[in-house]
Amino acid sequence: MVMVTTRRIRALLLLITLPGAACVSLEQSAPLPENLPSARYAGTPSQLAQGRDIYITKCAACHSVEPVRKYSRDDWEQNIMPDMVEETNLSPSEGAAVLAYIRTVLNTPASQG
Amino acid sequence: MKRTLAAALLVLGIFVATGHAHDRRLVYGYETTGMPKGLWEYEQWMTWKNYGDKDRFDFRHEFEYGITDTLTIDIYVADWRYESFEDGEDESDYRRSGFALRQQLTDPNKSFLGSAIYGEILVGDEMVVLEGKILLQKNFGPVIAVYNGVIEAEWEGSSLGDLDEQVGVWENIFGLSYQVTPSFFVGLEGLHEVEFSDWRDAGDHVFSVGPNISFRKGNFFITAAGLFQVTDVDGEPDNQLRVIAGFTF
Repeated sequence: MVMVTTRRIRALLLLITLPGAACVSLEQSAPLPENLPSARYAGTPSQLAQGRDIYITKCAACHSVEPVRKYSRDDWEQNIMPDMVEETNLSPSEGAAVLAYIRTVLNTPASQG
Repeated sequence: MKRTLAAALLVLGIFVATGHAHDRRLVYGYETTGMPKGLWEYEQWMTWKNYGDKDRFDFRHEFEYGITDTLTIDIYVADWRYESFEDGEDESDYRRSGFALRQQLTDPNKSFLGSAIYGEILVGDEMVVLEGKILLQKNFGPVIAVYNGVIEAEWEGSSLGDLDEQVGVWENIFGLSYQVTPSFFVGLEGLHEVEFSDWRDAGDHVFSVGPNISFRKGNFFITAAGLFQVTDVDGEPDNQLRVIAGFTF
């Protein structure tokens, strides 16, 4: 009885700590444009802000926010973005804003933002 | 029975073959995010419930449409049921149709807590159902935690003009989903339910819990959860399995 209870407590603790252990902050996955050096901008500040907003809302409606730097520029431009634009019904200007944001993050070394 | 199962498998098979994906990480719980504006989705639901002395299969054919990026309409074209009894008898019947609106209030990635409200009306030959839900969602990187609080009012009778039975239902749904990859998710769901006959007499509290799994590819997704009753309430399913498959267009 004691062993079963201990096992249940352990399982519960695992469940409780899982989110914390798995947690990568939103700012790490998708850095704020204002925290990136403007010399690396691949679009206007308002375009980058709109691009990030779409990235963390519409793009992350079906899955969690993916770290931008997890994928290469080629992956983003040739595979991921064309699919995502279609699946989330983005307008051409919205798609361009997301791509400008992604390019800006990829232009910036992780140590700088 | 075999024909029903074959038909269900055929429907699922067609969806798998169609390829492409959107949505749902959870089965019993709703997330606070809805459909993107202007997109349609078709969802096919199948729920199997085992009561010991009978098996029940509930089917739902549903369309979802993103009216805006935060407001989604769910159109329940038809809910129907097939039951197979221990003595070999079986029966099937159309139950109801209706619609629901889901309004997102806060986004789980932009606010501390994602939230949405949901209102539903279903009408059948012998029933009317009204349901309201509050949906809450907290994101922790690849993990999402969801809570749905549900209040449901059901009126049933021999016809729409004679709805002499009324039941209130209070449900609490809890869901966890971990993103293994952006296409594959695993988690847990829990369901607590208590019925109030005539909105007065509370029935037994029923708790069920079990794992869920979700996969999407392109515009197609499939999500399944199996729940096991951890209480021992007669008249409530011992085990249940729900599968939802859908595609956006």
